[in-house]
Amino acid sequence: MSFLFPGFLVAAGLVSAAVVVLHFLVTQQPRSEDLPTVRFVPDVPARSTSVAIKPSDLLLLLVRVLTIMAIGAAFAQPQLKPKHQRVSRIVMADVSRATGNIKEVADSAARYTQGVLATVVFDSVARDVNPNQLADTLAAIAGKPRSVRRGSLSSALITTLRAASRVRDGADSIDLVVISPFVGEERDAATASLRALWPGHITPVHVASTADVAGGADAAASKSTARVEWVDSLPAGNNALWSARPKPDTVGAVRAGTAVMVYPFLRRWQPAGKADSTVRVYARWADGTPAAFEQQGAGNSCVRSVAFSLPSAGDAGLRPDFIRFVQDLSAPCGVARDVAPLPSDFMTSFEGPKTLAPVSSIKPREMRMTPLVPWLLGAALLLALIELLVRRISGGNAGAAAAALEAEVAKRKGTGVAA
Amino acid sequence: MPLEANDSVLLDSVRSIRWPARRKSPAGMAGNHLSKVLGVSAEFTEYRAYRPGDDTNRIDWKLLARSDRAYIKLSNDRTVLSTMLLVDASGSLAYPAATLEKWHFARQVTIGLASASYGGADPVGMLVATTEGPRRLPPRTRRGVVQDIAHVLSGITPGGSPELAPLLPMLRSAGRVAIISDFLGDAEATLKMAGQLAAMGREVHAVHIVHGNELNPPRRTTLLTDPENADLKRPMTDVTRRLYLHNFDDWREQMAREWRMAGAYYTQVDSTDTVANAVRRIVTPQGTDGARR
Repeated sequence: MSFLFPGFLVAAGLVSAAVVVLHFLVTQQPRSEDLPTVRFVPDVPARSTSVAIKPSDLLLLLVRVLTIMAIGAAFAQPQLKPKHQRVSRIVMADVSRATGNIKEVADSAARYTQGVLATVVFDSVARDVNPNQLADTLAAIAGKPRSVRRGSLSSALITTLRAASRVRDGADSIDLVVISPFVGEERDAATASLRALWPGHITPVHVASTADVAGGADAAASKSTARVEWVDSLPAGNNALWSARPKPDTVGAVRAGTAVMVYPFLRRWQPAGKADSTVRVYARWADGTPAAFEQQGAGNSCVRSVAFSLPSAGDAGLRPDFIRFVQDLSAPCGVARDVAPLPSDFMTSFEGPKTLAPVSSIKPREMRMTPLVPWLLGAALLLALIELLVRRISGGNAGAAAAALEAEVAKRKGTGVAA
Repeated sequence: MPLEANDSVLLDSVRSIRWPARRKSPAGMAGNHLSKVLGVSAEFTEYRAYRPGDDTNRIDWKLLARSDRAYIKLSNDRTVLSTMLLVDASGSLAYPAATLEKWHFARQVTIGLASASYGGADPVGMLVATTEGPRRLPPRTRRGVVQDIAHVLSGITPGGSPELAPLLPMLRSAGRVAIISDFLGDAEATLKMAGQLAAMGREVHAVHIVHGNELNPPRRTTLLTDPENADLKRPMTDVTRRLYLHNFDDWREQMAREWRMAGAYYTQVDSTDTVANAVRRIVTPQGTDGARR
């Protein structure tokens, strides 16, 4: 076991030592004795600090010390060192819309379970999941309708780099396995740069893409005409995606794809709630809120639910941007998707060198500790000192009286006046 | 009645000590103290002109023959001095509580004074102020009176706050009264009554019993309690100790001054001294300058 911040443990030890010292340095009433001539002793508050010869309340002392040490250890953040192995593995599993069969991804991942320290499941968003729960996670994804989210190797690489920082202490080197169809839409401008941050070899495991599974039908299906639903025309309560706005307002523009329509649209509807993975925003109002959804239907069909009405008055219908806007609304389902496999030169550079990534080349995880903790500890120490000061002040009445007596004694010595 | 071993040693140590009267005593039975009355003993003192009524046997006939004047021979008469010892048995003398050292010292001083008085053939008695009431032994000259006094004192345990002043009128018949006390009780009233006794011609001795710890308290920090008043608690620290010593010294000086002004003989004895020395200091005349001892 090691400590991320052993200084806290040292501080707790020092505080415990101080508590032990203070425990034996007790303020107590002095020992009581008889004296017949006690009436000649000045009457001042009696309190004295003395070192207890016979230790008392040892159990209390033990509890106090253990409490302080526990707090110190908590701040010090003890770390149980994981079982060290020569090579460990991180698996990235692609569950985006480009993946033809999630079960194939799960089967491929199962072949790389040995030595896995982290697993990352990604589509457009990457998630660091527990390696022991990877199979369950993939099974759950396979049981749902296919995702419409585009895969992003860049976001997956970022999450993987973080996971590598977390697990770097458990191995000498790390093997990164990426299970993906590796299609063109999963690459973006940052992918190459992020790949360069991984200091070793990446093992790509190809799975079938949707195009491979459909035998080219997927591309054709993406050309199928979408069905447009105008929410204003539907019977009330017949649409699960939209709910009526409490107070309709007017928005000046709406954008669908690259087409923008400027017109004082009356906005009556708002999204009903969180949409599932089969629904994506197709058009947005000028303020960014959804104006139309595209929902994947059975097979390769889709339905576009539009929450506004086209202008029926004025010359808006004659403008070119209106025509372009209508064409975009009635465009085939899905956006233009690059489902072609990534080129071989990219894959070569993606695989990188033959050597695995040494953990020494991976940045350790930057610990983010709230800056309040050291302040709290300092405040606790300060309060302990203040507590001592307050105890002295409360016992200071006796000190003030003693000072007065000292002055009186000096005065008597000086003047020789008898009491 | 057997004596305690310590008492026997004490009596041996004070056997040679006598307690002479500080002034002429009233007429009484023949004793060792000069009487105020000039008598007819063999010890010639002076002549006095014959007055009608004088005993003609006391006329110095040879002087009459030589000077043709009649004188009678006078001589110092000697008498006894009845001594009463008033002993304070209050709680302040029960110190330290474990050993009662202060009380035992006062008791032995009393026995020593009784022995010194008895050694001069004076009747000696005792009156002890206790919480159960006064314990009185009338003045006697008979053998064993000192042992009686020792025995009575052995049966007394000091405690409470008995008053001395009301007992002093009971001692008017005594020619000498010695008050053995620490004067931490009704000191003012006692002083007043003792002053009246002195004015009546009685020889009054104030024997102030002081314990060594009272003169030089331990330097350790303690919370002190009055044995006669448990509610009176005072802390003894380095600072309060210095003021205590000032206060106590001043009080003892004041006590000595007031007792002497009242016509009494004041002697302070402390428990660090031997009993024989203490008794010797009490009984030895110190002149009339009132110097403190």
